[in-house]
Amino acid sequence: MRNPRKNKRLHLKALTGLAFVTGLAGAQDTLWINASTWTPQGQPVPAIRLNASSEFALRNARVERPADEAASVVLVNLDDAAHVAAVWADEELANVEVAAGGNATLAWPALAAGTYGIGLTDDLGKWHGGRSLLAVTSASDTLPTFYWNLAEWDTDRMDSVAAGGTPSGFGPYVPRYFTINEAMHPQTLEDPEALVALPVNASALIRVHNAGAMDHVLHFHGFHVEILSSTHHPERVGWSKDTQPVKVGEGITFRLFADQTGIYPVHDHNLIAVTNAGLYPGGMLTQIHVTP
Amino acid sequence: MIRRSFSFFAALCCAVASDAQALVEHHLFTGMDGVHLTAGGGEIPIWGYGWAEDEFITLPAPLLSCMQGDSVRVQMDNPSPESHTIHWHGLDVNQANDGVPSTSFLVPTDSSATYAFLADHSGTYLYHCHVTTTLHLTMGMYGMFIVERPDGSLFEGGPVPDAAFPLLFSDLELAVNFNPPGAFPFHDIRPNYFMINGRNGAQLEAPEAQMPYNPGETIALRLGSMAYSRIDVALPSVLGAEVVMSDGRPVEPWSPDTLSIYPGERFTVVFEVPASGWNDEIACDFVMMADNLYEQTQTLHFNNLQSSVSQAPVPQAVLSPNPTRGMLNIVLPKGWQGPWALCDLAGRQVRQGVVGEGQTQLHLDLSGEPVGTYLFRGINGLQSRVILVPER
Repeated sequence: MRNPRKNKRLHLKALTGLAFVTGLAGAQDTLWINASTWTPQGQPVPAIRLNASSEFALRNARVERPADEAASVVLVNLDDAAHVAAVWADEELANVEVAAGGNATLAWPALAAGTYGIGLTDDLGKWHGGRSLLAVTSASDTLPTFYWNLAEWDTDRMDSVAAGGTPSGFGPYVPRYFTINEAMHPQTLEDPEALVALPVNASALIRVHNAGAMDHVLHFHGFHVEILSSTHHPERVGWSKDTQPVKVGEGITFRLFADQTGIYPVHDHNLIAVTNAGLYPGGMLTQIHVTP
Repeated sequence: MIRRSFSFFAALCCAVASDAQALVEHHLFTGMDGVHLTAGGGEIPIWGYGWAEDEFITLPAPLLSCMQGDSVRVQMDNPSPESHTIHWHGLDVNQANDGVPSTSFLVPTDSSATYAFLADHSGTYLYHCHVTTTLHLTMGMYGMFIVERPDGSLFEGGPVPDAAFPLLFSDLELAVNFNPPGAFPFHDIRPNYFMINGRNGAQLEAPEAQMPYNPGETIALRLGSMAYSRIDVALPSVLGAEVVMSDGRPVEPWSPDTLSIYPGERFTVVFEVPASGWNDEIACDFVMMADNLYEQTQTLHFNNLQSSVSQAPVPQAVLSPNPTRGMLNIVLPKGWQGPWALCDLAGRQVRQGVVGEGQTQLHLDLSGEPVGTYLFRGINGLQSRVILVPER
């Protein structure tokens, strides 16, 4: 397990460096690489997150940038291990190494409007969950927008990686928890970015990124949604779907037109993912609430 | 060209309204005491749906259909020991009819309910139980729902196939079906028995499972998945196959080499069968979702009606109901005569006789015989399986 006292020393070192970097970067946003512990259902597991401050939060911070402009973000690494940060579409677009206790700027080329991935690609950062959603927006994106960062968690593998294990030694992949924005159902219903709430005959955007290591497939009850962008299924832009896979690392933007009132679930239709430690219902499950 | 409709479910499905009616009604029941036959003659315990008048459940559940624009009403009786529902997957029904226990309603033991909705988009849909879904689905509670158009087109302005074949992929973990309480924890369910329309391996090669065609015809495959696995369908390039619909909506035609179907997705694939260059097969790989590991290949078999006579299917008797609780009606192939026998799997003859000229049916009462699988056999390749299930 990691050494929290060492983390504090790294924190100070990183803060000192940040003053220099932010001075050069002006209004550039910053992501903090924080390491701590996540305790789903009483089971502590190591966790790494990209947060909007030096305070550890279970939820990864989302990044937004305008379309068609090169962009960047500063990463401040408060962990006691070096990490590699990247931005990806259907392939990696840019990366940078961030030393333990150091900071670095991750810069990437101009992107079309859509949903992408941003986060850590080294074994430790990847398996411990430091991966988030990059929303690339156009001026015409005026609809209410919801954000789903999907992931699954094989706690045995997370412990194995923390102990220095490598992919060649991994056993079968058996995720125990499944999350939207790093929260499991029913907590997903308390997240205003995961629970889609809107009045009837209104439209909304739903931006989805698969931050995990296995494909997921979202099924919408009550509605078909239009695919506005997809990094891994470009042939499907314009399709109207009620069930759509989100491959590993994929970013998808859906447009929902809520033409009927009511409460409708949205969930992974790989039904092992609608569980919490094997108990149903749970996991990758949220709802659409359409009011009169 | 005469349009053909074909279904692997044919022997088990009642005909449904096909005349652009304003109201179509189906009557299903649920059961948790069914059995499903494997290619090797084994029996897998299943839960599922069946036609109420048949009193036996099937895997997959009966194929339901209606015409675009129909109002659909489905009565579901639940005499089983647990509550169930029906979720109408992809039909965008309202909350009350959505089949989700927490937001719609449960159908408890010994009660009945009716679902009602409008089928306003043609296409391929699914239905399944949404109670403890991870378990009830893998136990077999799912089926396919087809919304057709009176003019035979797949969608307005879309292709008009000569034949359309509904193909439902699914899988199960045998240990779960044999011991449902042992299914917990649900997150480590790993399927190890893979099916297309409930058939596995050699069952897909049986004459009645092969999809008949004439070269030059346009074929539509209505593909849907209720599996836990991803299905990778390898579309032979010689077919020039195009995906024209997905999830009940037309799409810009798309021609993948391999079509991946994820759990809950549906695709309609259309192709014109070439005169030569195709081996009458399409391979479908089942792939574990969690780790992308290959699991097994199941193969779709097609039957060229203009090829040699030797490929023509042997006429078979139709046994119903099958499974049966005792009474069994056997409709013999036209003109068939000769000795017959009904044997158990140990080879013991439990019934036998001779069919004379002009006789077209046999009626057997198997009440009192041990529950299990029996083989009905006769000369000239006549052979069918029947399952005897416990009396209520």
